[in-house]
This record gives sequence, structure tokens and C-alpha cells, in this order.
Amino acid sequence: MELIYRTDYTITEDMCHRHVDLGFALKEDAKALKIVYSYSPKVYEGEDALEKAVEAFKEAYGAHPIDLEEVKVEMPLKNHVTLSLEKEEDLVGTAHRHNNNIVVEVSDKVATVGFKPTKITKGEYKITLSVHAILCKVYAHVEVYAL
Amino acid sequence: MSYNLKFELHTHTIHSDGSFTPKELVECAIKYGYNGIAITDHNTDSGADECVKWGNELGLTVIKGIEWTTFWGHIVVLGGKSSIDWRSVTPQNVIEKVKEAKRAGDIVGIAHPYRVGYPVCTGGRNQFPQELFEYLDFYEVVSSELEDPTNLRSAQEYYELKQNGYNLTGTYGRDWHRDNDRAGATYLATYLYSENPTITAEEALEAIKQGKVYVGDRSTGEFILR
Repeated sequence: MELIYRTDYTITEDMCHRHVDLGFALKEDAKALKIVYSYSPKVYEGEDALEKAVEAFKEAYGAHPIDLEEVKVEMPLKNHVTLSLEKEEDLVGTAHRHNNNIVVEVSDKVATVGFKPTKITKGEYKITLSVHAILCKVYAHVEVYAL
Repeated sequence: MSYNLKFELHTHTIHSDGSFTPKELVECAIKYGYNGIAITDHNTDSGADECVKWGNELGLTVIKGIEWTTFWGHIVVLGGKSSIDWRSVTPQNVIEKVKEAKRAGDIVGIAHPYRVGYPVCTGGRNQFPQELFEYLDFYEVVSSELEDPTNLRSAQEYYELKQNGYNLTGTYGRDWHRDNDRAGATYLATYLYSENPTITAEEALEAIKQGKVYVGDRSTGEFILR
């Protein structure tokens, strides 16, 4: 197993609702790719969290009264940054899950759920971090291994 | 004789953030008496083939689909014929993307337009341009529990759109991630009119497109809205 790409990437609040592309090249064909991805913090600890949630409820509910207990069910608010993999500009898959620690493996025979089995040939690949929700600075870590 | 076939058109598996495996989703749907489902994982269709396979083996019609879970709204694409990269969908090009999906043979609808949005659920609340409704096939009038107050707003918008001549089929979406019905809550289903006791995925898509559906109580089939 060879580490072929590694990055520590800081995502700031102004990057909310953006796709962050991290490209890497595979110099030789491989049996599989393994991606180890994590980000933190997952939970937003800000004192204004409840206030932010209430505002979102107000926008959705319109004139309907808001039950604060319903809002509290949605707490704590969380950062949400998903990972996608692309090979030569074709999307291999997306891990749209709320876990902030994931491992993705892709080969021509099998792939982690969310991804399609893909022959791992030399060429250009791209990981996309999609910033669905960011309430504070988030630190992402990505490692890619060729197997 | 005509039949009202019970479908759930908005589901998720472990291929995105659901708890069901594709097999478990099919089994659970059969348990609740569904005639069919659509598998609509967030931003992936990697589980669709397996779900169809289990549907064929266990006796459930499975429609391949995907939910484009974008930053500005969630769009359900049913049929499994298009392969549009969800990351490329923006408010500026969403109409073109929807047209592209429909040219491929899929049908397209808006999911839970008034769901509580950011930062509780990014894209949950629809923020796509109003013009998009002209190009959609269906509108998820009721989502999740009937009692959810946001369903009042989506129902109001749906009826306004219909009065203004928009050709949209009203549907229900459970947004089914796990088998966790809340005691006291009311869940609905989309019932498709059919002349036969079973229906293929293609026939189901055609029924939705033609508006040959009604939304009713999941348990009793009692009519709620059309």
C-alpha cells in the first residue's frame, strides 16, 4: 500500500456551499484506491447555535408558531462536508453520510457504498469536498493510498 | 377493474445516509404493504441495481432514482436513465440539467420544498428559481409526517401552482431513512392508478407523469389529496 496523496485542508465559513477540488495523479495502474477522510469539529459549539436553528425554523414555518422543543430535537448543529471521487472527469461516487470519519475503497470488482466499482488506472483523479454546512472553521484530513 | 397501487417514492439506504441495506429496504416496503418504491439515495445511485434485483426476487417494483442533494434544494430524479453529476447543478443551470434528465427518459420532481433549511438541513428548503416548476413533473406536496407544519406551506404552494396552470403531479415522500415510525404520527403514500394488480417501473413513471395518482393514508388508502 503506497501513500500517493495527503493533505490537511482548512475550510472556512466563507467556503460554505462550495465544492473544494483536490486533484492528484496516479502514476501507475493499481488494484484499488483507499481514501481515508476525516474532518473536525463535527459539532458546532457556538452559543448562537439555538438562535441559528430557530431562524431556520422561522423561514420554513412561516406564520406557524414554533415549538422550541421541536427545534431542540435538531440540536446540536453540525458541520457537514461530504466527499466525492472523480476519475478523468467522471464521477466515481459520493459518500453523502453524516459520519466525519470515513474510509472509501474502490477497485474494479468492489467499492464502498456510494461508489461504483472502477478500474484504477494511471491518470488524473480528483477528490471533491462539498461544503454543505459549515458553522466554524473545519479541519479536513485526506489520505489516498494505491493498493 | 382498477387498482390503487401503493408506492413510496423517496427512500435512502446505506449507500448514502440511510440505515437500510437495499435488501432491507425492499423487505421493509413489503412488510408495510407497498407495491413499489423508488430508491433515491443522496447524490449516488450505486445501490439501485441491487435494490432492483431484490425487488425482482421478493416481489416489489423498484424504480431506480437519485436525489440531487444540492446546496439550494433537493431534486428527485426517477428512472435511472440519466447520469448527471449532482455537483454540477446550480440555481443558474438547474433548468438545463432537469431538461437533460428528462431527455434521457427520467422524470423529475422537487422534494420537501419547505423543509427546515440551513443550517439544520442544507438545501432542505427549496431555493431554486420559480421558473423551475415549469419543467418539473412532480411536486412532493407532503413530506415525512403529515403533521409537519411545513407541509401546510408546500400544499398551499402546490395548489397555487396548479391554479396558475403548472402541470405538476402532487406526490408524497416519506424520505425514508430507517424503519422508525413515530407513535401518533400519520404517514402517507402515493397511490398509482393501474388496470393491473402489478405495475412495472416504466408504467409507474408514466402514471406519475400523467397525474394518475393520489396521495392517501399509508395504512388505509384513505384519500388525502390529488
